[in-house]
Amino acid sequence: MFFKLAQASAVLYLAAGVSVLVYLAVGRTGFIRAGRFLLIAGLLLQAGAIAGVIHFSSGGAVPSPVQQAVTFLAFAIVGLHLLFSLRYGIPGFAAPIAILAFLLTFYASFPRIATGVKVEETVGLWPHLHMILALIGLALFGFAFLAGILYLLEERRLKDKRVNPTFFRMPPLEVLDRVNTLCLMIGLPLLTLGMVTGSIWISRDAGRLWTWAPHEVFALVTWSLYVGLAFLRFYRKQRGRRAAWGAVLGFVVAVGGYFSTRLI
Amino acid sequence: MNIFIIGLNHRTAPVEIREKLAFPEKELGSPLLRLLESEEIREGMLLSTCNRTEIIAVSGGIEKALESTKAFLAKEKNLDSRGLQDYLYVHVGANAVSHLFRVASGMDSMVVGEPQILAQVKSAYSQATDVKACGIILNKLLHRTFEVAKKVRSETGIAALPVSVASVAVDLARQIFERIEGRTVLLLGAGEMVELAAQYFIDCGVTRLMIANRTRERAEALTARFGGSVIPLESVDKHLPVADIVLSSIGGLSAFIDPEPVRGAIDKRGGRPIFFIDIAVPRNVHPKVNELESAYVYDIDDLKRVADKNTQSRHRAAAQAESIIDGARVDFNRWMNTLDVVPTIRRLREWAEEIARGESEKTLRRLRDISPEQQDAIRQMARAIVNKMLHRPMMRMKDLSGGRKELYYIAAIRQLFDVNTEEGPEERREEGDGE
Repeated sequence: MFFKLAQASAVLYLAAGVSVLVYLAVGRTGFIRAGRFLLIAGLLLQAGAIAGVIHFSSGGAVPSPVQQAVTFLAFAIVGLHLLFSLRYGIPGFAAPIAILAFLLTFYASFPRIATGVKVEETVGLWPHLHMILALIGLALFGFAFLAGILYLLEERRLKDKRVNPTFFRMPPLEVLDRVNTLCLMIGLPLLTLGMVTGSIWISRDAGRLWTWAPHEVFALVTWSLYVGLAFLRFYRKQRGRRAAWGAVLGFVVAVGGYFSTRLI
Repeated sequence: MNIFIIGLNHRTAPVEIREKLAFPEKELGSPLLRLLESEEIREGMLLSTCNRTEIIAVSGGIEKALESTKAFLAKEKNLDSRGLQDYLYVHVGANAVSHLFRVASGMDSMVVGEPQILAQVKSAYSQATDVKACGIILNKLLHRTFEVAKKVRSETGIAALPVSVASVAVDLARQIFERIEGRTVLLLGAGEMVELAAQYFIDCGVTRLMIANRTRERAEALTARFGGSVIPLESVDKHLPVADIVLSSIGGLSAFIDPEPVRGAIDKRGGRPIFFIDIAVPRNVHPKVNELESAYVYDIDDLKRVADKNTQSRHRAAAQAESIIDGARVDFNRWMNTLDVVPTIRRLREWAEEIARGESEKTLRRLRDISPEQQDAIRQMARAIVNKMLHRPMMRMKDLSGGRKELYYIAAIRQLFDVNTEEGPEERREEGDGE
C-alpha cells in the first residue's frame, strides 16, 4: 500500500514539475494552476502513505527507515512550498520543488530487497520527535538550497544581461534571499531541537548523551556549519550571492552526511 | 441582422483627427442615445480612447445603417463627412466580430498586448448598457469578447513581457526587488527621457524621488511635478546608500559614478542591491560597477536588447492569439446564424412533425384491425393538428421579421420549445460563407 501511494505521488510530483516548467517556457498561467493542483494531489497521497506507515504497519513490504525519512522530507518540502507560496508570489519556484520532491519520492517508492540486516525498530516518543524535527529542519535547508541555486543562476543571468522571457517569470532576487533567511531562521532551531531529542533518545538506549557514532559526528558538523551561516547572516549581515552559496553548500554537506552515514 | 464597426485608430488617422473625433471617456451614454435615434440602428455602443474611436452596432439594413452612422459621427463632431471618410474603417459581420476580439485582447493596440484597452472596452460596454443601448446580440458579443480577451491573456502570456525601455527597466527592477512600491529612485538629469521614466516609476508606486541635475531650476521643476528632493550633482555619491534604483541620463559627461563609492554605498546598505539604469550616451556609470556584488548596471543598449527579445516573443504569442480569436469568431457566427427566422421556423416544424409521426405510429401499432385507408386517415389527422396549431405563430413570426422585436421572439421560441438550430444544414453552409 505504501509503495503504491508513493509511486502515485511521485508521478503527480513529476507531472507538477513538468507543468511548471512548461509555464516557465511559454508563460501560460494555466500551467501554474495545474502545477499547484498536482502538487496538492501528490501531497495528499503522500500524507496517506505516511499515515499508513504510522498506523497500519502490518505485514507486506515496509519502507526502510531511510525511505521513510526521505518520504517525510519530500512531504515537508512540498508542504513548506505551498505554505510559502501563500505569502510570496513565487510560482516559478514550484518547478525545482516538484522535481526534488519527485526524485525523493521516487527513491522511496520501490521496496528495497532485504539485505539480511534486521531493520532497527524506531518506536516511541523520542525517536519520532527526533526524526520529525530533524527532517523538517532538513526540508527547510533543502528549500534554502533550491532558493540559493535559483538565486545564483538568476543573478548570473542579470549580471551577464542574458535575460529572456523565462527570467521574468522567476521570483525576484530579494524574495529568494528572504526565503533563504527565513529557512535558516526556522531550520536552525528545529535542527538544534532535533539534535537534543536525538541525544535524549540515545541516552535512553546507551546511557550516554553522545556516542561518537558516524551520523552523530556528521550531524554535529552540519549543525556547526549552519550556526556559522546564521552568524554570518544575522551578525555580519551577509546576504545575496554569498549567502546563496552558503545555503547550497550547507545542504550538500547535510544530505551527503545523512545518506553516507545511514547507508553505511 | 448585421454587426458592424465603424471607427478610426492610430494606424488610420493622425493624432489631430483622433483628437477631434474623441468622445469624453466617461460620457458615452448621451451621444450613444443620439446614434440610436436613427431607425436602422438596433443596438449600439461607443468606444473612445486616446488611440481609437469606434462605433459597434447592430442593424437590419446594413447600407443605410453605415450611412447614418458616418453622418452621425460627422454631425457630432462638426466635421465634413467626406473628409472624414478617408480615415474611417468599416468592418461588417464576421470581420467586425474578430476586429472587436482583437481590439479587446490588445492585438490592435499601439503596444501589442497592452492590458488597459480591455478595461476601456468594459467601461464603454457598461455605459452602453446603462442607457439600454445593447440588446441580445451586443450583450452576447461583448461577453464573448471579455472571455476571448481573458483567454488570450492567460494562454499566450502576451501581456506579461515589457517592450518599452522604461517598462523593461521597471520589470528588471521587479526581478531584483521584492516590490517596487515604496522604493527610492535617484534621477540624474532632468531631460525628457528622465521625465518620462519618472512618470512611469511614480505610476508603478515608487514613493521617493531624488533629482540631481546640472541646472538646478530644471530639477526643481521636476520635483514640483512629482514631489521629491533636489540634491547637488557633486554630492551624488553621498546619497547613493539610500537609492535603490539610480536612473542616469546626463549627456556630455564621462562616467562619473565610480566603483569605489558604489561599493561603499552597498556596504552601508547592508548588502542590499542597487540597480543602475544608465540611458546616457556616453555612459554615466563606470562599466566596472556591474562587476561589484549586488550592483547591477544596464545601459541603453542592454535595455533595448531585452525589449527587442520580448517584442519577438510577443509576436509569437500574437500568432497564438490570432488562432484563439479565429476559433471564437466561428463560434460566435454560428450563434448569430441561429437567430435567423427561417431555420428557427423550420426546426420548430420538424420538431412538431416528429411528435405527430411518433404518436400516430404508436397509436397505429395498438390498432391492428384497421385498413390502410384508415391508417392514412389517422396519420393525416395528426399532421393536420400540428399544422393548424403552428400556422398562426409562424405567420406572426414572418410578419415580425425585420422588426425591432424579432430577435426577442426568436430567442423566446428557442427557449420555450427547446429548439436548437445550431446543427441545421443551412447553418453549416452559412458558416462556410464567413470570410
